[in-house]
Amino acid sequence: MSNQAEHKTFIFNEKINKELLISLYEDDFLYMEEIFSITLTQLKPDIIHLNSSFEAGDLSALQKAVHKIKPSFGFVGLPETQESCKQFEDTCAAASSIEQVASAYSALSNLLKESVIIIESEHGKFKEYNLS
Amino acid sequence: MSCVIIEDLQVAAEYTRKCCEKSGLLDVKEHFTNVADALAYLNTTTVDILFLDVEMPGATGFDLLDQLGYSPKVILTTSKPEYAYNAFEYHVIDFLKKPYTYQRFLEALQKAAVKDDNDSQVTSSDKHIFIKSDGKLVRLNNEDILYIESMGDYVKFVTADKKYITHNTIKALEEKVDKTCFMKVHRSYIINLTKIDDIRENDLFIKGTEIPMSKAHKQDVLRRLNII
Repeated sequence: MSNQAEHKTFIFNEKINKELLISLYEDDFLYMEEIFSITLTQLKPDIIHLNSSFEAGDLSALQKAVHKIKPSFGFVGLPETQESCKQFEDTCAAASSIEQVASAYSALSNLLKESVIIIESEHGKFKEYNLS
Repeated sequence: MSCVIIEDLQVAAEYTRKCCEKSGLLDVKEHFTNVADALAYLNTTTVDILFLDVEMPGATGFDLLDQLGYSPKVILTTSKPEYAYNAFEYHVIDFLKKPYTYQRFLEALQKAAVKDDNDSQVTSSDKHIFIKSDGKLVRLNNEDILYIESMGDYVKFVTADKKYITHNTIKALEEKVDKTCFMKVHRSYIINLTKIDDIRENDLFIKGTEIPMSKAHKQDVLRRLNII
């Protein structure tokens, strides 16, 4: 009995805001798996578009691209990444050239990579958990 | 209620769809990821509620509202609180900041339901009213209505040859009907003063139906009658 209870306890990554996820999906781990899967599927091309907008020096496209991906991180329990995206969006809005946002973009880019790794890891854990 | 989701972020659209299904109150007709496709659909199909993102490829949610030929109830779903002022200008029902909880979603639906009660169940002019009954708007001439009776969350409009049931309350109707011919005589009844056949003690009769008068309203009724 206690083994089963232990088996059914899901340990979230410490960077994930567990309370936020529970507020959105209650304890429906299948639903969380689905949401993480959809997020990963859409994030990958969206981040490629973000990078290409930066490399093309297109400030407006960069701002729109980061605006689009921003809420994705909220849906997977990473509100701090969502907030960083918002700050970068504001930075883009205030800037007049791509050079002015280059340093902020570099920091954001690293954060996005870290966040995607966390989402992938959690998605894998959800799959495993839901199969058990 | 029917609804359409207009949202370019797939995960947000799926979340909204799930909330709609969970509520058991909404039938999601379509999901569009851009304004052009949504407009093409909405110009030929009427829906009750739009869940509308603001920033999407091509045009914004506000562009859609500018071009739409009718006014469904709109619940904005966006991650940018800066749009709150525009939302107010466009008379949207509510503003959901992504990601929002299911509870917050239900609150938005509640606001939509309240608006529905306030502005579309009964519209009146001096001579007639329109009521929603059996999925259509029905015109009732004031002179044809005998009385209106409360049925909990519904009311029954009674004419000489037909009865119509609609979602409303006596309290709300009291403010909307023409006060020159209609009057509340009891917490459960509004009557057409011109249809009273006789009054006995604390009851009045219209076409054979006995309708109670509360003590509080009886004197007002008597004052309104042409007693000689």
